[in-house]
Amino acid sequence: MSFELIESQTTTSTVSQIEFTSIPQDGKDLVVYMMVAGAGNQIQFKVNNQTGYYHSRSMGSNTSTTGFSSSSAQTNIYVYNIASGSTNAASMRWHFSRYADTTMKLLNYDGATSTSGGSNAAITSPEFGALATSGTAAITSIQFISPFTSGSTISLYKTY
Amino acid sequence: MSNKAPATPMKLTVDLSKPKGEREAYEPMSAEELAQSEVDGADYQARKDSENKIEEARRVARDSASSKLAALGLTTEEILAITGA
Repeated sequence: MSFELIESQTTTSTVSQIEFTSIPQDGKDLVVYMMVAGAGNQIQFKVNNQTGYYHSRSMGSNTSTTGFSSSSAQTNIYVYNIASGSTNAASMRWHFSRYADTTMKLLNYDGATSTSGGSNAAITSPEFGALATSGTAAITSIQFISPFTSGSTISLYKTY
Repeated sequence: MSNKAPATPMKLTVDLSKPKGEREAYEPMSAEELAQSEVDGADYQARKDSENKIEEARRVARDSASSKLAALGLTTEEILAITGA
């Protein structure tokens, strides 16, 4: 599997939303890497600006070994809790399998937040999850919603 | 007290149909987007509260079951082998 960088953006000011539109449809999977500086809280995402897009969900974290599950339509997905503070950070990976497919798509995500910054930062809340959707539209846009501080980086890759 | 109006939250839109270097645009979020964000936030909080309640009930039930097994004479290792907790 090979990766090709589609776009990488580092915010030059604080923004509440980052949206990628007109996502090229010639890849197999879509992978998003995100490094977010502190001062945020949860990160929410939407696909194609739709609500109720994902229809099954499971997730867990280091504090929840049993995980959660839901068969109800998810209006939006929040994944991480990032403690406030300029030295806090979160690193995330979102993997959209078969994103251009019109019959089935899957999302896996994982990542971790740190609370003290620096090379010895404590990782406090690794989280992971998987989602499936019955949505039939190919993914052409993705919105990430959170208070993204200046210097947050999001990179979008496609795989072949 | 300041009379300064709060700054309108900004958004970054990256249009991948455009050439690199011309894709990004910083602009204020619209009133509709801000309103939707509030609705989504409330929706999330309600769902998270519900999940936390379920998780707490599971934890209480697990602890209760472990205590009852211990009262029956099972060792901690035996309880862990059964429950995985």
